[in-house]
Amino acid sequence: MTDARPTGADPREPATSEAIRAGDPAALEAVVDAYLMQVLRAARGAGLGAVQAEEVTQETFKTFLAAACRFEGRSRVRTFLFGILYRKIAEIRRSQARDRTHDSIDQVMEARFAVDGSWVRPPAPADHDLFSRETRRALADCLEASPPRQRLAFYFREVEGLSTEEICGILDVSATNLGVMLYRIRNRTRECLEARNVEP
Amino acid sequence: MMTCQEVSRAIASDALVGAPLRRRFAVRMHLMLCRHCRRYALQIRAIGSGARRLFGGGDEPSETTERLRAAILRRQETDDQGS
Repeated sequence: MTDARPTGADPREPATSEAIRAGDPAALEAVVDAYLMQVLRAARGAGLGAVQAEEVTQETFKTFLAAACRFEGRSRVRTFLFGILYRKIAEIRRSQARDRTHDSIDQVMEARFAVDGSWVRPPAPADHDLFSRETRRALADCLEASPPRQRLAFYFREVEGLSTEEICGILDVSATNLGVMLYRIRNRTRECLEARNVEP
Repeated sequence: MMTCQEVSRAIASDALVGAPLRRRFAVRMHLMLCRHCRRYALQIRAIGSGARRLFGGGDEPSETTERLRAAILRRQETDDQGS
């Protein structure tokens, strides 16, 4: 069956790329309304405090509005916005270079396995309430230990449920690289919870 | 047979999404036989659902978003007039 939709009109988008590029106030307002909450939550998910998350959200939309005339519609508006957000956060944290090659979690994970690849120290169980306030607090603390880029990758995958392709576009990384980032943040978080005797 | 280390790596790096059927089957078989990896897989999954509860809730105070929205759109109007 052929797609009868006119090209450029993506039903998932709050406005067409033409209207956004033309600076149509109604279109820009629709974008703000559609994505304000998502961007604010992602900023929080990346580990920013309430005030800083609001500032970065505002800056993200400011940049978006200034760059709207160049929006070509090759990616979704959401991908475009999350990409701006990521660069704003990277500017703040300047941690981009550090988390690319070396990460201490790799050695921690290496040490948990024998030469034949079986567990030397298997994952420990804990008997905490899965939904307790304490567990949520511990999870928030443990996620703090990872660099913002890993946190955003994890946030986009787990909370927003974005595809590998879209996350790679936002963070400008390869699929392999994304896998490594997810591996690291999940294991670092799991190790941290285990050390606190909290079952995730 | 995949080792525990290979299975844990595949799980935590989302390497099974779109992986060949044979590989997914190998991981599933391993999980059936290995309680340590089963626990590991559950914990990795629970970290994801925990994060969804932590960040995904619709409890954002509307005054925050209202204030932000007003600030963003006000700035837009000022910029328009200025240009």
